[in-house]
Amino acid sequence: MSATIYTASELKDRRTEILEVARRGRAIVRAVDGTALVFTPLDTVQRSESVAQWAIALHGVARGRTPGEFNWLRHLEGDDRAEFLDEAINVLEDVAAGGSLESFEELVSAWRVTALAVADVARREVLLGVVSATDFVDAQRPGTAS
Amino acid sequence: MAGAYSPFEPAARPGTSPTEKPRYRVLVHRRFSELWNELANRVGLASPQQFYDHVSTNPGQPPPVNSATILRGKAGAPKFEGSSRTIHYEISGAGRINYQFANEFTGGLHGDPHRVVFILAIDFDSH
Repeated sequence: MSATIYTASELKDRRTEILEVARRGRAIVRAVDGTALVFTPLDTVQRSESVAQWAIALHGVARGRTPGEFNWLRHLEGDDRAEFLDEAINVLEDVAAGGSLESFEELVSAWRVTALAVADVARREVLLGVVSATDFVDAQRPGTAS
Repeated sequence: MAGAYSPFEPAARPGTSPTEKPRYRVLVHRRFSELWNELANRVGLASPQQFYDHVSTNPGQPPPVNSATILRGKAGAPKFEGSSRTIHYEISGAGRINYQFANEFTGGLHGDPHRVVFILAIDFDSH
């Protein structure tokens, strides 16, 4: 990614320009000791940090581990875990390319809800098993005298 | 009293005062019918009635109150020909209902297609 590089002394006279450049992407200011400092929107930094953290966690899942934030994955069967991993990596790649982190968080949340829905034996058997119409009975509106 | 599902029998008139006339017949899996009957005792009457009124009229729409998520993977797969994926409805902080709906359900028979909501599972686990 290209970026305009400014000197520390330009921070005073060209601050409006530097802030505008930073707002559009990133502006680099070279400190007197040569250290490069980056000015960029906070969202960009937070997204990058989140992508890195999630990527490490997903890498752990891919290697058969269950990191704490994915503890709920133990309720999913192997092919569902694989499907989760595939979808999560695809969406995270989109986020890394500038997409919204929200889409990744929504995906993880939906899979977490799914895993917890099948965490119980009875729910698992119905949600993952075969059902027929004769397995069902009428449900009265709550509060209706039967 | 709840009886076995028969697609040719009219549904019992549900509700005491729903705000809209039900368009879908609501069924619950036998394994969770007891929990269904306990809903009001567990979470109060308002939330279960809101759930019922929502799924019996617009089960495919986002609920006006509470939240819903479409389950992923195999747990979300349609159970019947033409039925929706599984929708996970948070009835309260402590209660969740998983259901599917079908707009033209015949039960595999040659009856008239009708609208049905299938409540597959209910849980009150603390997540």
